[in-house]
Amino acid sequence: MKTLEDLLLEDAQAHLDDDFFTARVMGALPAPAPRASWWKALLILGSTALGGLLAALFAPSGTSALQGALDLATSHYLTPSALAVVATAITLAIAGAVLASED
Amino acid sequence: MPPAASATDAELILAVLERDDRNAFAQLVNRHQSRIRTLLRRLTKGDTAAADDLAQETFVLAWKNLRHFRFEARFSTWIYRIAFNAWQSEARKKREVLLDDPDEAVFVDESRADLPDAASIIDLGRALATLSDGERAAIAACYYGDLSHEEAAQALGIPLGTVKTHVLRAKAKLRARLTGKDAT
Repeated sequence: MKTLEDLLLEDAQAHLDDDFFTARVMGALPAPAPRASWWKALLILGSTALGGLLAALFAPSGTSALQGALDLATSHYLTPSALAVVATAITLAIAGAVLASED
Repeated sequence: MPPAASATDAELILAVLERDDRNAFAQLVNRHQSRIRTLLRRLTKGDTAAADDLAQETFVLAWKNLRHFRFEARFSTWIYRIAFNAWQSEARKKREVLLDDPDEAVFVDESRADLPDAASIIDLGRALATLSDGERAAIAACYYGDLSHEEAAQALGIPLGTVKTHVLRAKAKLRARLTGKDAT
């Protein structure tokens, strides 16, 4: 003979097969958070800096960042040094904007 | 490395919190799905589709709030509370849920008295569906949720005395239904 207590416990402990329920829950979870992007930032800024360094190394003699800054300050915008400084600044700004938009 | 099948709930939770380990969470879901789904099936009067939707919502909420889990409590107790809240909130969208309906009638606990041989789980399911929201929730919490009366009172947000009254009254009604002594 069963008691009400037995029947309640039996019902509560009866095992329900998963029947893809776990898969359904896992599919409904929020997407994984993006991984920490410090290495990505390092990669973008590092490659930009490397590109700038290579450009400076292979630039015609007399071209330098200092000279470019001086040329820009004296309104000589189209000298090779001034153009190199402007190009580097634009590249860094674009890299920064890309990183900011991903955050 | 995936967590071992024998890992405790606490170890699986740590794996989720520290490594965002979805396999560990899948193990937790698989381990607790049966009781959560059964609990919700009883609370929803046997509506298996609604119960499974609520069970899914329960586990998704657990995932989102796992960092708030306090390790001194059992994971099962914590997730039962989430399940009760999900059920109450869903039920309130459809109608008023009265968990604290006052009734001064006194009932004697005869739950250990024998039932007729023919009494089955199916009959029990039907009988549970005829209880009031408060009675069904109290029975579900104490038997299906394996909560103490105190934990059930906390989970349901009603006084301890009300839980005890609900449980006694529910058992008297269930017994009456299952023995055919119910006049209604």
